[in-house]
Amino acid sequence: MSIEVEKIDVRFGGVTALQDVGLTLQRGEVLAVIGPNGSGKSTLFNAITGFVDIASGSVAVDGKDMAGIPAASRIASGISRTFQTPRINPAATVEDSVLCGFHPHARISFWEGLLRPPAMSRTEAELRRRRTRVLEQLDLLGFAEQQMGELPMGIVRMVDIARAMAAEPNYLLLDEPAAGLSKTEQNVLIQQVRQLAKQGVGVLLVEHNFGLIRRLADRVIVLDRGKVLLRGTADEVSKRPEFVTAYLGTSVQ
Amino acid sequence: MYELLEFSSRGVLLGVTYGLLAFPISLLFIATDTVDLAVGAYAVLAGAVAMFVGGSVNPAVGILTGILVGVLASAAIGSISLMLGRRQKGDPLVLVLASFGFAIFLESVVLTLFGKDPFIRQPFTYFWNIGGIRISPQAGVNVVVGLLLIAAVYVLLYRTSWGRDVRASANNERAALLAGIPVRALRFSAFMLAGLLAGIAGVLVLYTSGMDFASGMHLTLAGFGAAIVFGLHGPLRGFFGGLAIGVVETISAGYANGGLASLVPLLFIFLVLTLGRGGRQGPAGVRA
Amino acid sequence: MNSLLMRYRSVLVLIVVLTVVTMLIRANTVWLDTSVVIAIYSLIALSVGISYGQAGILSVAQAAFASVGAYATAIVTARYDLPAAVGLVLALLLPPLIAYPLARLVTRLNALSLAIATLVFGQAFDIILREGGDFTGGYIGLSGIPPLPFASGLLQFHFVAWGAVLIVAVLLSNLIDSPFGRATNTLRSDTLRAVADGVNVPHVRSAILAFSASVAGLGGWLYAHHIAYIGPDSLGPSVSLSVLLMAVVGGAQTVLGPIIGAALLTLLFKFIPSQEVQGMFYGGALIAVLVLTPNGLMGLRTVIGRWMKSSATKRERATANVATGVSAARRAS
Repeated sequence: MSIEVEKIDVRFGGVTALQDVGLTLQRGEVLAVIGPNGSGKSTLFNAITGFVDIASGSVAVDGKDMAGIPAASRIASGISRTFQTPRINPAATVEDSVLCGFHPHARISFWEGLLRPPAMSRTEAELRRRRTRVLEQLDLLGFAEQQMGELPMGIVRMVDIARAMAAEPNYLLLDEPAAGLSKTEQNVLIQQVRQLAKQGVGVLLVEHNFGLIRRLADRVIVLDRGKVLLRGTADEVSKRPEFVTAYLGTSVQ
Repeated sequence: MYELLEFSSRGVLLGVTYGLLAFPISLLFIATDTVDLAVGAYAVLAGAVAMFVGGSVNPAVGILTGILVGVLASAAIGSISLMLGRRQKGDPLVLVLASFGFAIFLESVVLTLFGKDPFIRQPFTYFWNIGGIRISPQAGVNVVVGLLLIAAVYVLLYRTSWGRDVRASANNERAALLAGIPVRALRFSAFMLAGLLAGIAGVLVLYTSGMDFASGMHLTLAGFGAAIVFGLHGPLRGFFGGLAIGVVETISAGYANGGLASLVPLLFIFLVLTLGRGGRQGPAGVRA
Repeated sequence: MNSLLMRYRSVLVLIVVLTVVTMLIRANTVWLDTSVVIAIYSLIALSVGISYGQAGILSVAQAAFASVGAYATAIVTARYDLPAAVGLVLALLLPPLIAYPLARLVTRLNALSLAIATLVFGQAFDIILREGGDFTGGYIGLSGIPPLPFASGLLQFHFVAWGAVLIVAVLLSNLIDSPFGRATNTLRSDTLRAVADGVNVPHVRSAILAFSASVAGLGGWLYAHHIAYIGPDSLGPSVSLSVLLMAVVGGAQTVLGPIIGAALLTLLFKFIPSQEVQGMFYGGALIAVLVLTPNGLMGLRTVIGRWMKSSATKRERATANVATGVSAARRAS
């Protein structure tokens, strides 16, 4: 059970954003993607989740080819993601935002929403209980009734992660989850990601904070200008000279 | 065959006006990423004023006044768009909604001032006879005006700094602001130019097929159809889109029911929207 | 219980207001007639609230959907002598049967394309009505539509019309407070966010437009049986504009907003001198509202509410910090 990305190319107009990139993400492992800005990390996320088209290559999830499957269906079938810049509705409260994350599990049709049969009230009550649990796990209960627009970036990011976790995905793609988080919040995040991995969730992580990657990631992929530069564990990668030049952003030739 | 040719030539006559209406629509789409539903109403207003001022003073003064009123009307929606832009953070739908309101507003103004009777002027009482086909000299006027305006718009958009700035601010508003391009002033001038083009088109419609107070929405849609048939991003393609729609419309009016023929531009638009042409669609079904 | 009150608070407010108003006007035919007109416009304005307010779909053809319902019932009752109930079924079903495929077929389902598609539909429907010959009555329209057998008196019709508004208000309240409604709200403000939640955006948009078209059709059904006549100008583009205005004036995102807007503008409309200047009034008012209060009258309420709440939380936070130094408050700062 894994996400298999094979030799994908992504082009925007004449610009090649990803070239010949491949990776395997097993359920239960934490894989980090690092690289300088513009190296194609977020594009890789978008390609896996179907937010951009791939020009060649393939993405398969649990053995099923994802070609032609729209983004929403990929999410609904068990791949959740966050955005590098969290997309929030500033007027919504934290609890309502997280409730939206349950969408793939709500299984409530338009008609049920309109007529509100008793079964739907039960589902809603159950979703609200699960929401409280997710908020508790991420230490967010204290903010439940606040509006997203009033919160600092660190909390907004945690809410975004809670929203992605709410879908109870098999694979979780986190785009720079630790940016703007305090030390305490980072620790909560690390603990949660480990917990999720233990429960069998495959976690793909785009991150700049190498300290966090060392503590969290089983393996690391280094991207540079749309190509895979290196693969290995965090320790192996950090000793390679190519990594140092690429990661410090000095690889201009 | 003879009939078909004559219908086609009449189609060109009509199509040129549609093509001219496509200019302001695609120009505004390029400059502001939205659609002004009142473009047809500027044309009707310009045509009505041209007819009444032209009838009481003289035709040339009428035409100029009509076009001027069209520009003033579009300046009004231009100012509204600037006021909305400050509040709505660039939600394009709000301007579409406001322009819909403005279109109905102008329709009511024309009805109140000029009444329900159709507006039409046909000064040419003779026809050119080219190879057995009767062509109104108005067709010649329309084609010449159309070609001159194509050339002018092309030069303006692709050969002047104004055009370069408009295209730049449409691509990336923030970057354009950072580069010191006065985005708001450019938008406003794009609206004025759209009004000018719509006004000229309105005068040509007055002298071609005529119109009445309620024609505005049909003209907007005909122009919109012309603008998107070959892709909304090029103002020059709109002209040929207009010709295509005009020809198909007159041919179907000739061979089938005249009233139902005005469905033709609508079908064109719907087909283009359905086939998703005129822009790439993301696999998520949304534009990122 | 509390959440039940919260969900249906708009409906309860409406019931209270209706009870008082009905008591006051029950013997006055002029006001009863106005009340029925307000109820009909409320339904079409609510249909704008559903599509534009909830999902951000700008439909400039809501009156055309209402017209579909009105013509359907006019044709089956006046021409074929079928019962009005058959007309009701058609009025509820035909508009969504047009709206859903219309929205679904527009492959570039961004808000702008869909707005244009509705405009195309409205114009095409107008042409078809006028060219429809005997079937639609052409330019003349159809008259002699029978009154509703169970609501021949004006007071009964008043109850039927407002009963329909109440039912729609309940359904809309349900929808807003459901996963489907939350998904709709998400895609209004941010389509990509909705996709990342796993929401099938084209389906949700199309379903909402279909629901909205059905509500408009219901309004058209009442219109036909109340006025007893329907023509191409009865529910034309200017009505599409006025119901947009009603929804935007009242607050399109709320349940009560469109109803308040419908009541307000119908009453104001009684003072407008002539038909010709109607468009100037509606068009000008719409632009003024968009520029001045984009969220309508109900939006003013939230602005005031937020202002009161924020001053209250400021006080609360100050006390909490002094008293215990709650960790949440410290983390938030």
